[in-house]
Amino acid sequence: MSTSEAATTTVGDTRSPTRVGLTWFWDVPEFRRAMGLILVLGLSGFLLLPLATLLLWAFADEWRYPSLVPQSFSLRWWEWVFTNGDVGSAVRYSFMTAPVVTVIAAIICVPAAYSFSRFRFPGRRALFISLLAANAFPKIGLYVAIATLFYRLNLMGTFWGVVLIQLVGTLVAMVWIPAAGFDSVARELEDAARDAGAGALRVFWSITLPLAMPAIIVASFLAFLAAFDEAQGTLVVGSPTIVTMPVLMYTLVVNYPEPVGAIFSILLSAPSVILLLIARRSLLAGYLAAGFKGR
Amino acid sequence: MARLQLEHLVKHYGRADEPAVHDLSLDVEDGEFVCLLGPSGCGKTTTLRMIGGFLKPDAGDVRIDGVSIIREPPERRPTAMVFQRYALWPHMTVWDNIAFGLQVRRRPRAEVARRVESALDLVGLPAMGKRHPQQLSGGQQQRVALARALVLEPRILLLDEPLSNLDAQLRIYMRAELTAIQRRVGITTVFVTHDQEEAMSIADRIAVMNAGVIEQVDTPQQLYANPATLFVATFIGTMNRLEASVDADGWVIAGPFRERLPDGIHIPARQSLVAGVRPEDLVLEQRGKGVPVQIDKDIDLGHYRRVSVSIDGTDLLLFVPKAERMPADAPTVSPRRMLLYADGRLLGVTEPGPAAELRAWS
Repeated sequence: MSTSEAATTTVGDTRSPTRVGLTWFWDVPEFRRAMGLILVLGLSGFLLLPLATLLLWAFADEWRYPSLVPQSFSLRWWEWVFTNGDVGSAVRYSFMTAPVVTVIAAIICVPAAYSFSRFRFPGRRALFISLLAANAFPKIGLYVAIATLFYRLNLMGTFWGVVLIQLVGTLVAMVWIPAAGFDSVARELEDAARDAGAGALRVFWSITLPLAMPAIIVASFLAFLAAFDEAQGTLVVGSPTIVTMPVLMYTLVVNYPEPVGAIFSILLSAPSVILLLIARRSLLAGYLAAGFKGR
Repeated sequence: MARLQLEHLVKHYGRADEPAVHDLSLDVEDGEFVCLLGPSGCGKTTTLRMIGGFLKPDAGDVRIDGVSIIREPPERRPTAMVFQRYALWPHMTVWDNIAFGLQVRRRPRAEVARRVESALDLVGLPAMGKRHPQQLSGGQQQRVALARALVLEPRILLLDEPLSNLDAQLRIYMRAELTAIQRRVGITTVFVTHDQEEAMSIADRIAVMNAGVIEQVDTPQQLYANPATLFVATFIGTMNRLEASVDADGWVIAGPFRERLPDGIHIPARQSLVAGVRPEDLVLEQRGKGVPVQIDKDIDLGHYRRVSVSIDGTDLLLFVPKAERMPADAPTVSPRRMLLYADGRLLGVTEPGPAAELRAWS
């Protein structure tokens, strides 16, 4: 940009524009081209190297300093993880709690999001912001305080206790993102449906909800992952009866060799990767485009 | 079809002293095409939304064929609206967009299909049913919105600046298309626009609105020839404004011109008036009986000339037909027809003729 500006201001001047001082290298085209590559490589190294280490550890049998790669590989820790009874029950509990939390969060939060988006009531802004309150304190303190309440309600160590505690972390995303989705549905589209003869309920089901659906789906994915990865609250409320995968990971990382932790991390990240792929393929390509383009 | 009556409609947004619409009454005859025309913020869209049921008036009534619909919500009113930005549902195909209202009414599937097809035919998009709205051009989206409104066979069609999002050429084409469809269906139509040329070219009658009130309802020709208020006179077309008064002999002194006051009108001397003269009603001659002027600017626009003249610091604009020759020297200007306003309302018109024959305006 600066080059072309310099060029246009010196019309008739045959000298090529040069820049003096500390930023001279900006005018070197080779440098600029290299800059992009350097950034990409740096960023991917930053993101991918830890993952590569994780993968190596998962298949390592023996890996001692100062070697850059493990001395020997094996699958025996995979076998150990998959045959371990604690792991099996943790996987089961994880896949029981996270979907239930997601559904309950959607049932509670989507109507709330709609209200925040469509109605003006006293204290609306304050309430909207206050959803962040759960994230404003150190989580563990909050969970301990909730635990004392749960003791009295006989929720400690129960399935529903874990569901409730995991719900806390999903509220913000599950209200804020769908609220933004509802905001993006133009009032005119709803007016047009009423004009065509649809009552308020029909307008919501046929127009507003389908158009806000991409946002709700994205929020549900985030809520699912938040519940799936939740460890602190589940540890406080659920143990020792309800042990989910992230909670079990604490035990495994402390008590077993590194490959076990690495394998478990890979298992834990699998749902995120799968959901991400679904989101990319179906949401971004089709639904989002249909809903938000062209206006 | 249906006759629409608006009776003393009042609507306030917040501030009580500045109503958005104030005591608005309007009758639209069966099959008539009426434009609500006015600058932005004049209350025309507010009025339309009150007819459609999206806004509740503070006072007044809306009647269709004499029956009040003021208590009905939009979904129960026999009105259909075409929105400014079309408001087509992006998650439905064109076919589904048009069929939606019929499906809400639980019409049999065969009837829905037949009526959607004929609506698509009517607006000239027979093969577009499977597309999504965002795959269509602006003009096509406009037609789909119109088809969606007409397929329900409403008794009143409401159009909220439907052409304002189209480019100039398409807008003129769609004007003709819209009037043709309206004539064919014969539906009572209320059309909101801020574009006076658009209103003049499509409406049977125009209601000119300003600051929440209707200034005048009339045919386009009458609005142009005899604007009832000074606002209408300056809003519609171009108008030379001259400060005017009446002298002791009962003559009107309007800027440099002196014309006889029409019989039957009595204006106290020294009351201040405003005279309006259309640019084409000023006659430019060489050594004529008019007032000598100086020609400042002469722009040839092809089918006519746009001439700026001045007399003692008063600037006047003239539209001179191409056939008329420009005076070589000593140009004079005389008014052929002049509109007289007192307190912004039309008092009378000085008619053409050698004796400057004047006629009283009731």
